Amino acid sequence: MHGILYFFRRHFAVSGAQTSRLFSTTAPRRKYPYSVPKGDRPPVGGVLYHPMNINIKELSRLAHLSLTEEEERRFSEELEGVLAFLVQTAATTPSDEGNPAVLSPVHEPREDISIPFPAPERILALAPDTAQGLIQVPAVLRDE
Amino acid sequence: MNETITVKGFRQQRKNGSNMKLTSLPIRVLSALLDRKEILPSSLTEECLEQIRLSDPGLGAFLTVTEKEALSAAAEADRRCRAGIRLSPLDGIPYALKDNLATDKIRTTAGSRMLAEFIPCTDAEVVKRLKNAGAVLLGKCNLDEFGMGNSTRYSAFRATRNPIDPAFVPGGSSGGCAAAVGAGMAVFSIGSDTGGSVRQPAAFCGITGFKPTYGVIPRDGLIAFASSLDTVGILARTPEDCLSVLRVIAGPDACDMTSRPYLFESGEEPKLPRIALLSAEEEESDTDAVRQMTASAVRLLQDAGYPVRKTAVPNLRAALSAYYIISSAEASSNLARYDGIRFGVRAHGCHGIDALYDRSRAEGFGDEVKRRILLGTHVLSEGSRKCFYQSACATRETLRTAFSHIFETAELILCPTVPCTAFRMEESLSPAEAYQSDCHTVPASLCGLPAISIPCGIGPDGMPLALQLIAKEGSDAALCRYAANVLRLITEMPLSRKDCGE
Repeated sequence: MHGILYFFRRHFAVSGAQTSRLFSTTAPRRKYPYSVPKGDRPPVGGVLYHPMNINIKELSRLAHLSLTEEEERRFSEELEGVLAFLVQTAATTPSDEGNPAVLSPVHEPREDISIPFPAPERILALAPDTAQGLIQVPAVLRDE
Repeated sequence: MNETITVKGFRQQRKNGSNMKLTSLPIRVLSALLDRKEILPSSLTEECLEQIRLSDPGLGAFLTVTEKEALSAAAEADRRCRAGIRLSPLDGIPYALKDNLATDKIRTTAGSRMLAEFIPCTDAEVVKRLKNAGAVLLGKCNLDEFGMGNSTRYSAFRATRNPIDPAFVPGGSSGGCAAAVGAGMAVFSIGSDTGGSVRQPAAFCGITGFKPTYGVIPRDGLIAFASSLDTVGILARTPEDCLSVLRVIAGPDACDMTSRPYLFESGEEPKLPRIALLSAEEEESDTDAVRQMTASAVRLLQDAGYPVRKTAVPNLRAALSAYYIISSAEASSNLARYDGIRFGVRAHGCHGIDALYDRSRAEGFGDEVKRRILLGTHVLSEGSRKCFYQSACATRETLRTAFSHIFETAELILCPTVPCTAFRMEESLSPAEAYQSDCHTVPASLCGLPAISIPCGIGPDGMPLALQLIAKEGSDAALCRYAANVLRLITEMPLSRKDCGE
């Protein structure tokens, strides 16, 4: 079951990160590392969660990166430094949903047709592990 | 500068026995010499390969040198040249390619351990176009892993050094491309620019770096970093050379939905464009040398009759944050494809698919890439998205409006390319500090505008300073022509050391 859910998340969601909540109940609320005028501070979504807090364990799970303890400590320190610097952006009040596209597209969408690649064995040769002309992966579904 | 060298001048110098380097000639002159069969593509290619053998062991600009392929491509170009059927002005001109652009049967690593053994099955669209035009590929250049960085020290393979002084970084992420052109190892090179990755290394290495309007050069085959910002860019000696290359590689491509048609001659252009000098809080981060260089350049332009006025963009500082939020968010999604299944590094001895993903990615990615993925995951996660990602997108829209207002009364925007000169190899910066040196290049990236960096004087540490010109969407060719005029002006009346902060 987990495998199917996982497949869905990988292939249909924009990012795994968006599908999960990031509540950090244990981390204390931190002060801003440097002074940001009160009016310019980003809106804070409740008491439990603070956008300036890095929950490194949750982030590494969502991003599919296994980190050592040393890395966890180092990355959360560095990322907090980066967030302190990024928080300046919050000076602009967010509109409903900013438009991520930079310039309006000029192309008509083309037809979605599959064109067979002339040398599939070259694509297969890139895979780390193959068997009988297929890419081999560890078991995704298991008996629980 | 080589702007003034003509075919005649070249002949004269050859006659006088000077061993002038062919790679120091503008593409226009090289093409004329090739047309008249005074030089052959193979001698040009051999000169570049010789220079690579000489300089590259010390500089580390190339990850792969394709000597055999280059020589056979040059031999074919020789035949066409002799028969008088050159395919384009770039036929027989050797170039270098950033290693995040796919090349058929040639290893393409993106500077990452993840793709250390990756051999693409097709060429990137720009490579196809250059091949069809007869240009000769010399090899693949070093870069910061996946284009994330501004010093080329974040490559998984080696650091590249600055050709002007190897004690300094060449900038990044197209540092290898900039070093290759700067050291005369290639006539031009093709890089990629997400937030300044072509303009900043060009500035640090004293050459020209051009980022086109978003979509003008197709990106099929470019290994994605941040899709709403990524552009393919050109590094060359002069803006004219950039234009010669742009003519060959610009234009729509069915495989890239974001590509757009491009018209080269778009009506009349004023001879002296109105220039808006971008002044903002940005200046705070500029070093004295950069501030003085800008002021001196403005004086020079005004003396030459250019109408220059100051303009301010409110909240320009926020552009830098918006850039890092948007690019990291997009990178975290784009890099989700490296999971150890279909290609790239796969960790051994993992139980279960999740452990395989987690450990393969941990083994394959370097620290800077991990930082950006984690940052992107954070700014997209529920609870942070509104505070970071959405407000960054809003900042981007505000910025676009502000820039389009400026272009109602000006043809060009002028500002420095970088707030400082190249830093030393051993100088270590925290991630937040390193990010701040992109403050001048990211606004054009966020707005999808064409921008060009041209060399402008030498700083007190002996490293080059650079000016950036930004034009409105779609004015790519005009921007190159304007930049060529400005560069000619600067070359004719060089800024003294006093003008550059000494």
